Amino acid sequence: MINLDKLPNQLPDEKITGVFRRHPITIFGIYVALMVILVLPVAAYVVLHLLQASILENEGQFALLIMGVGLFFMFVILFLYQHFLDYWLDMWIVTNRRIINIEQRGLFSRTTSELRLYRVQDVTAEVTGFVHSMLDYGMVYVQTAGEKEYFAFEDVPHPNQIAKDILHLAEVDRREHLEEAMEAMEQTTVDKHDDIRQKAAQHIEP
Amino acid sequence: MTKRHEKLYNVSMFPLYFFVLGWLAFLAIFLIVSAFSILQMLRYGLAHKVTYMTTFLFVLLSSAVILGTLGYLATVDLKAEVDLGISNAGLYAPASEL
Repeated sequence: MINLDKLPNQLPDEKITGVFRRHPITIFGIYVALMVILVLPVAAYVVLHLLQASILENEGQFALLIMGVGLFFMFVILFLYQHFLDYWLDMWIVTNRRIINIEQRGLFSRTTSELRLYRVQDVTAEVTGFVHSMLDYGMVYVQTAGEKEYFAFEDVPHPNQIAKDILHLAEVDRREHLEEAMEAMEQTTVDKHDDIRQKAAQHIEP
Repeated sequence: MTKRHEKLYNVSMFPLYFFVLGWLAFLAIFLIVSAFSILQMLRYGLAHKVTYMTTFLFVLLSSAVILGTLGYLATVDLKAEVDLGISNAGLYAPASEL
């Protein structure tokens, strides 16, 4: 279990500033499904009763009905739980030193990645569409220096505020850990030069 | 009705325990998938009351449904024949009965 007091690979003096998840409206389907499962069996029983269906009087057929309804409820509850699990295990943790992105896909696929704040160069908040604007949720893209890859916070509430906070934290982190940041940037440059050297060598060799 | 006719006439009658065995197979699948889901939730979920509450609710509701169904099945004669209503009387019953 993830404990916020003991993050994986926790850095010294690291403090959590925010834990973000998708807006609860994005699991609206779960609420609708919940209403359906509450209403559907009752409605089915009322219809069968009104039609005076023989299935309610025949003991064997009624037992089959009970087993069917039991299975229906079990798998609907399981579906809802897994849907919620998929929502709940997706999260973005922002600390004063880094951003941790944890993404759950289905039951067995899970990706965890992290980004040091001093590498953040550009943060973009994007809110598109009527529902997104009304409920104030959308995307936040965090771009790092010299790389095309970016972090995306999906459908998080108050994206503009999050973008602003991340930029501020990145600036503070760059100031506080300037040496570390410079070393990392130099290392990136060396790596890039090695890459260029290797490519050049490949190009020269017949 | 001859014995042969009777046998063919009752082709849509099955003992209830056939269906109970099928139900138990589905129950086993449900329990396996549920166990993995709970394991993932408790292993990777945030140490938060929502994690515990939803897992508790899931276990509670599932147990209620399973125990309710098993409780009902305990009161039923499992050897009783169930007529699925797919009558083949038109094909196999003696003409006098149609």
